[in-house]
Amino acid sequence: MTKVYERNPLAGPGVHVLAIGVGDYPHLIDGAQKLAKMPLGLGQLSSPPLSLKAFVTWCLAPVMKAGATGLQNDQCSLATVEVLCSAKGAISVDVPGGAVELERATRANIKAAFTRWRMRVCSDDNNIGVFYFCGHGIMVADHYLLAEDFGDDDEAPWDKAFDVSNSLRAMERETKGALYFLVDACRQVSKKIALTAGAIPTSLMVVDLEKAVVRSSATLIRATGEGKLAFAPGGKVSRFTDVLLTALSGYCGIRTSGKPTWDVDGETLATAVRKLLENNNKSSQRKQVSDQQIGGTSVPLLRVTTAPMVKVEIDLLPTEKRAVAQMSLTSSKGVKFVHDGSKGVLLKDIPGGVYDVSAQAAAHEFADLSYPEEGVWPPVYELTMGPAV
Amino acid sequence: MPIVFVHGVNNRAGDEYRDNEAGRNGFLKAIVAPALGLKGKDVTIVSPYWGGDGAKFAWDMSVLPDPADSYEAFGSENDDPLATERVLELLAKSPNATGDPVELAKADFEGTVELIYASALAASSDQDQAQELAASYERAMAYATAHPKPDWLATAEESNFADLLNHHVHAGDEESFAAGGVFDQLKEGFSRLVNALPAAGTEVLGALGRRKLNATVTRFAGDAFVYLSRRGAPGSEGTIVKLVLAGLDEAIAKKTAQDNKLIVIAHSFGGEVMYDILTTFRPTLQVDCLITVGSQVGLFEEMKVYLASKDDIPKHYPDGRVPKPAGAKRWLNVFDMNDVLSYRASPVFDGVDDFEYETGYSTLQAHGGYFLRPSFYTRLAKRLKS
Repeated sequence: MTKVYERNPLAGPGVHVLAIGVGDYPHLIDGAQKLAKMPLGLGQLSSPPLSLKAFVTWCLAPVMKAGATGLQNDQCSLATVEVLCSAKGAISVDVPGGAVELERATRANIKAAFTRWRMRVCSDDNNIGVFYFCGHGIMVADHYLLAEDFGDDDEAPWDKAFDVSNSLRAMERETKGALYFLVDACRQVSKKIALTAGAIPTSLMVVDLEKAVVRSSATLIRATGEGKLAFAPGGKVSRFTDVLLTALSGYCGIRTSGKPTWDVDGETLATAVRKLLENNNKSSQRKQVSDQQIGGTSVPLLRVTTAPMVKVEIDLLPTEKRAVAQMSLTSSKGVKFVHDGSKGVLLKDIPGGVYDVSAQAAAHEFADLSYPEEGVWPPVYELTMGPAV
Repeated sequence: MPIVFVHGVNNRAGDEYRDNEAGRNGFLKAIVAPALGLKGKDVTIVSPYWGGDGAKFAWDMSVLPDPADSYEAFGSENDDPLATERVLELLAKSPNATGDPVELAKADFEGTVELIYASALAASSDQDQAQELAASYERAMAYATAHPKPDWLATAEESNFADLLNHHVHAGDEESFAAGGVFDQLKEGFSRLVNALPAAGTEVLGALGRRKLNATVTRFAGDAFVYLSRRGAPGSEGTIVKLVLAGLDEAIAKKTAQDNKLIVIAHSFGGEVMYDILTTFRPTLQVDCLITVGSQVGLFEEMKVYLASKDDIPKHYPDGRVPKPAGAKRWLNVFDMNDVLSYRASPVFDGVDDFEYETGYSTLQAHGGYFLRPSFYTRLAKRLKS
């Protein structure tokens, strides 16, 4: 068991995290053990352990150092974190008591950890359960995620995978709290599984349809759409986890009514993740668009005390005009950000709000350009100024 | 660089025609276009369809000894039997083909990779998928050339060969949390190959050949007769000529200052149609490169059946050849020794470069096999680049 963190005292509402990363698949291509009879073209992954570590580090940051950016919520603070990870070598995470080596993410370990996590999430009706997975995934009728030991038994090839779609459905009937499922895996449809009868991966808990859905809120954000791939630059945090952590680290949130705090609920987070991924797609040959499913009431995962920022990118075309332009944003409160166009595209992080955007030529080479009352909201704002726009 | 593809005889609108067009266009965009310094998405491909005005058989070819040879039997709505048929044909000309594709790969890795991609292309029905397959094919061939005996081949099995091939060919890609890309196409292509190998060289192929050959020759003759008798004359062009001219005009209209070349690929009898156009119906037409593939242009000039044919050439056999059409700046003629319907052109015409391409298909399928082999596109790209 790798419960790397437990709040003291544990009693009361809290956020319970179960995070799983699988990069080492011994029975898939280039693995250390016998290759599976049907490896589905899958091999080893370098990114999931790194992505998992980044996610867990972000969760624990405020308990490691007061005030650090991470999982903050004064109504429902971080209560427990359990982590499983399969990597080529041993992997550890830094926790308040020192570094902890992580248990491997085999199917049996995942099942056991899920059961423990379920019990913790169900211990208080105001709890929030966070389930994070990064590794191989495939899609048929539902979304299946692959544990480390996937492919170890050729006679039961899908035995070491699990159905995350129905695992969520099961949890929705168990807890009255809120659920956040963050799934960083592919959803490519596997014809091989579709054409195999009687061997469908099972969920981590059966869905008892006699039970009503009782959870207050459920957010499922998947790294990619049905039939699509999720990507990661080799040896780095995956695209999805990267934008997820960016969004959670001050690039989304809605002002809490009557308070100087900002809430990040499922809808806000999902929108920010989608927009940040889309923004990344501009420089990627292979596009990735996230998929989300939000249900129930709004239960914020985060409540932060600083206003969310916006990644602003303003260009002016043609570039000859930009080179002689002074570009500016002026907020409704009169705060002004000025940029010298000769230095290139305006790239700046600013607080969200309504801004007047404009560009003037130093020696009147072109008529002033003005875009009044632009809504500049997190996580990104893009504008290309120019006569034709 | 608009490309005009003029099809030959035996083409009728239907699933097979559409699938062939999708696969061909995908490979032209992915392999031929980059060789000419263009991005696939920027290339216009116009394929005027004239099959609807080809021969019509009043009794649905019931004169054939085996009435089951009617045209409809070829236009199966299920493309799998057709794809399997193509793979069977392909294997008929692969002397090393055994019942075990992994053993085949151990003996000839590069050749087997080519066979797998050809087998995948045989069922391609989507241009984007075909383009993706083409891009993967180029990388696979580069990989096979660099690794003629990869380590993993020693322990590969039939069940995971395609998995391993796909994984190693795409090892340099951005990491993805599933196989993705062309994996399913390759897996299906390999599976088709596995299923077809035991039948290679058996009576199955012989029976298949006899069944199809009669109908193929019948439709060829029918389309040729219809064209020759109804092609018309300048000013009163027949429907087939009008349709092809309209396709050429559409492509010309899409030329731009940066993209001002016109390439025409004419398959089979499409070569004869294009020759008539360049010499009689539109002698002012400027074609940067005319590529006749599996064509009979030379044969028909030997028979002097073109409108522009002159009986006094050659004056004294074998001296003298017919000049290349003035509007064709370059002319490549591709033939396959197995394709009984393809002919050389250089003994009859000046200024044409003949080159042989072995489709790897049997006598029966070779005529349509050029555009089903991925290597055809790489060879074509190389020629065009030069």
